Amino acid sequence: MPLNHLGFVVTYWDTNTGLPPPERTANIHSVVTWFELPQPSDYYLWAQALVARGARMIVLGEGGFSLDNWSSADVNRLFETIGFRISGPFIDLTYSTRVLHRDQLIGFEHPLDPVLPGFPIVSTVGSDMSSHLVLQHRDAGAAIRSSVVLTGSRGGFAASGYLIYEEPYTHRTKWIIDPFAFFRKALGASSGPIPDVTTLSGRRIYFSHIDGDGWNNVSHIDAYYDARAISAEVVLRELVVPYPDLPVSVGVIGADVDNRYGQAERSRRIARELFKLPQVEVAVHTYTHPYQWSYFENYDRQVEEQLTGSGEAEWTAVLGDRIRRLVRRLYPGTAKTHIERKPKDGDPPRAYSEFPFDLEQETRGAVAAAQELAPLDKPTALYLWSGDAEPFEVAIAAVRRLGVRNMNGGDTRIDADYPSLTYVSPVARLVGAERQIYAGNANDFLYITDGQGRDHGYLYLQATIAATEEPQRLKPVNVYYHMYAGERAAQLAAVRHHLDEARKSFFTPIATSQYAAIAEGFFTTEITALGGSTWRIRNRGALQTVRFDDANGVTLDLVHSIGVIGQQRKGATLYVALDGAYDDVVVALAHADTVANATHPYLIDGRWQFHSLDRHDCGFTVAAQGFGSGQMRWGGLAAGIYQISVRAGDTTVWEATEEVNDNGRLALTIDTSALQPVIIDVACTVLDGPR
Amino acid sequence: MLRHVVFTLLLITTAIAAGVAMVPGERERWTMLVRDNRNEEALDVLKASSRAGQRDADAVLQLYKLLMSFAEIARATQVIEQFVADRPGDVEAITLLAKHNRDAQNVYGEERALKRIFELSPSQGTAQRLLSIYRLDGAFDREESLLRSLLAKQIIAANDAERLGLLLFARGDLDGARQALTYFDEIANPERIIGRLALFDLLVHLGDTQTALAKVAVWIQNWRKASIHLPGWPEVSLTRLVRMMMAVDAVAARRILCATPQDGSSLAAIQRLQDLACPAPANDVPAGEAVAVATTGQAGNLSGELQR
Repeated sequence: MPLNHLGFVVTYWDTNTGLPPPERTANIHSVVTWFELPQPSDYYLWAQALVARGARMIVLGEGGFSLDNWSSADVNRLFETIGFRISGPFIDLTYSTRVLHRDQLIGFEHPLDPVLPGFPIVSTVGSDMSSHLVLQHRDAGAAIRSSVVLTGSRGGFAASGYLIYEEPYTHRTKWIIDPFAFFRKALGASSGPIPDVTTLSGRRIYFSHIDGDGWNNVSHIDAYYDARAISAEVVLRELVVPYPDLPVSVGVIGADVDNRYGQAERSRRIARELFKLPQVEVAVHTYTHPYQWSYFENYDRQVEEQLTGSGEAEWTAVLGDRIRRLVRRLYPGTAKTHIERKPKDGDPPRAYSEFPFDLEQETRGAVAAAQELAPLDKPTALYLWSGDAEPFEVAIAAVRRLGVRNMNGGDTRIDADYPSLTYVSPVARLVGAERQIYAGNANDFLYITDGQGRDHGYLYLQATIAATEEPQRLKPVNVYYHMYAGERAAQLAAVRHHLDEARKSFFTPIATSQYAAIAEGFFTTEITALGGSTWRIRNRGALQTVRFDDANGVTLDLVHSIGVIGQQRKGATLYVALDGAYDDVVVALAHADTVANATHPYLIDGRWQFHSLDRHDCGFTVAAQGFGSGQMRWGGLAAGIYQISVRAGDTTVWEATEEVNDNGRLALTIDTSALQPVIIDVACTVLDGPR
Repeated sequence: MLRHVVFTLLLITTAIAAGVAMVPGERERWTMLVRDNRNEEALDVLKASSRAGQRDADAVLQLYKLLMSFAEIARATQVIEQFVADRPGDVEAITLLAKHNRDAQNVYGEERALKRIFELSPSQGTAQRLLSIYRLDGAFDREESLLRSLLAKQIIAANDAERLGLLLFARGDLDGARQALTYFDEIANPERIIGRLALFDLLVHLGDTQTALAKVAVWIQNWRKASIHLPGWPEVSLTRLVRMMMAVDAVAARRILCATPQDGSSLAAIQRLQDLACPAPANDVPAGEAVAVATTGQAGNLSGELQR
């Protein structure tokens, strides 16, 4: 996550499969390694060549060398190219080690342990290296120094044990180093614009989606119990219908509405009712609900039948398992395929296994099943991964080819049970050439099943929402739950709590598929510096915000920017809203005290989304669309009286007259529906002074 | 006639009394309501009962359960806290409070409850959870205090005894460290190395070299018995141990290290110790090492390895 937050796209490479080919490293900015096992000499030579070519290299944890082979020439040749060297043996008894120097980078979430972890002896090479943590070890009368956390112009290093703390009983982790500051320094992150997936129209993005699990579960909530109502109906009545101002994507499981798997008429009726609602986006949560996706990459129906007990007697299953184990022991090369075919936790591989797994049915079939229940003008927009939410590349590609977005996984949370940013996931998971977009937050299941189980657990999503907003905004708000939220009163109350909070908050609510599109835009955006403080931004897709960190003292230069709608500050961060009507935009910044934006209207923030901003001599026109009432604030207007009118097609649906005083700000709440696009026209009638 | 009237009145009175007697009591009412999944009504009955000062344990616990089932966490917290306040020495009740606080993500409330449980009924399980809280919180002073208490009660786990010893050693409390590491040495599996090496150093530091060497002798025997290969034990630790032993008492060290038969079946780690400490026939020793032994002596050679 910290790397994405700094604007970097991360691709993963397993060095066990060999080193990346040249085309994979042609345009890389940096390489980050976090090895557990020693690496062969080839690796060091490859990495050294990359650093010599200008790529930065960050070595985290073990450097890929054996503790007994720290003095290897290959190891140190690479490290010296980066700016440090291993100059002594590993110190495992640290009772005579003291901290000689530490700076602000150390102790971010967790202080240094008084029993210092073992460490290698590391010295810096070159004058441009900064040591952030220096230890001094005394042994046999000699004092040895080691820089266990360092950064420089060619990368950095953080020794194992000084990077992340792991609590031994619970295995919960916390950052010891400040990952943002460390990576910013080690990667030489620029002060330019960063594509941002958290913010739209100057406000934090809100979206919500429901996985269909538990759709047909009978509700135990008093008011619905006697009628034997199913959970999906309770969710419809209690969590969807009462919140027309909050969009929600509903992902039905194909088999749940398929009569081949049981009486599905009631389920289908509820699906139709849900999909008909204007705030509901049509989504799908697979067809048979795989729990472990990797299991289906090399699918074998016979193996599945054995696992689900449908085609084999117990004794033959046991015998078969023993034989397979023996074969694996004798021929280890076959082990991987077999292990991947076996579910990790002993659960069946998927919820509905009556018929053989078919990726076509799992993807296209699922989308068609949802589509059949949706209004004709409402296409299925989103595919929500099930189970472990770790789909294989071919599955993601199949979904992409259907023209729908994909999402789920990531399991971001930061609260008392997971008290660290180490549990905040990146924007997406890259799988070969495909991308799986992660959900914004963990879902209710993860909260409900904590400890011995607690139905109300999802209430604590609020801790994650708060911790990913302050001190810096790291994630959008994603109220992500399952249909079984309609089964128990506490689960229902927890979701309702978040919906009520969302209603009161300054968010920009969007459909979940739009967030997925924005997240995709993060990976395609290209930024070119045009001058000291001007950048051209291309190929951003649906992403409409860029962010400047440490932007105190600078502001948007509206005169020299093109395709920019507005700006909003949050602490030292400046969020710039881009105009979706422009494919390419130019963002220019200027010092706050020199810029002349006085009569250039700009958006500060709004609940709706805006595009096609047309600034007039006296006011502006802008297209808008969104959920709920149109709260918005504009700046840069001349003081005076303004006439505001809102048109839907040719019909004026809302009008008002507002006064703008000397601060140039106009605050509006347009009380009309903008589910369909509207045009907002702001025109001055009387100005207080010369423009 | 009068007899009939009296009899009838008696019957009526009996029937009314029976009827009154058969009206469900409060306990029956909420039990039946819960059974019938009429939880909101059951909650209302129990809330009213609570307001009226009812303190029956079953009713209070059912009230708590229902409040939680409606996600009324603040009210449920009041109820369970009052329940515990009414039973100050009841470990089961305080355990409920600890679980409640954990479920409510109230870490400090959970810590308070666990501390009380530990006071009343010390156990490793309670201590482990407390230690987790302290460690994640970076509260090392509280961690140390609890570890000392566990050691005093002799219910400390090997990992924790080692940790306490290293904590105290780093802080300069050598007597405390010795006590903890000695206990660790007694209970830990043979393959646990770091705490033992620290204990050896500590004993040497305290001048108790005989105990230090005697312990190494025992460890080596145990390592051999347990067929331990000591994977991941860094070369430097082996070298260092031998060097320290030689520095303390070279003769005794060689006796301990070299007495172990070099029969080819020696485990890798022990073999390495012997390679470092014991003179071998010249034709078995690599040329470089043989020269070093010949020119600087064993101790000098070992010290040279460490400085390298």
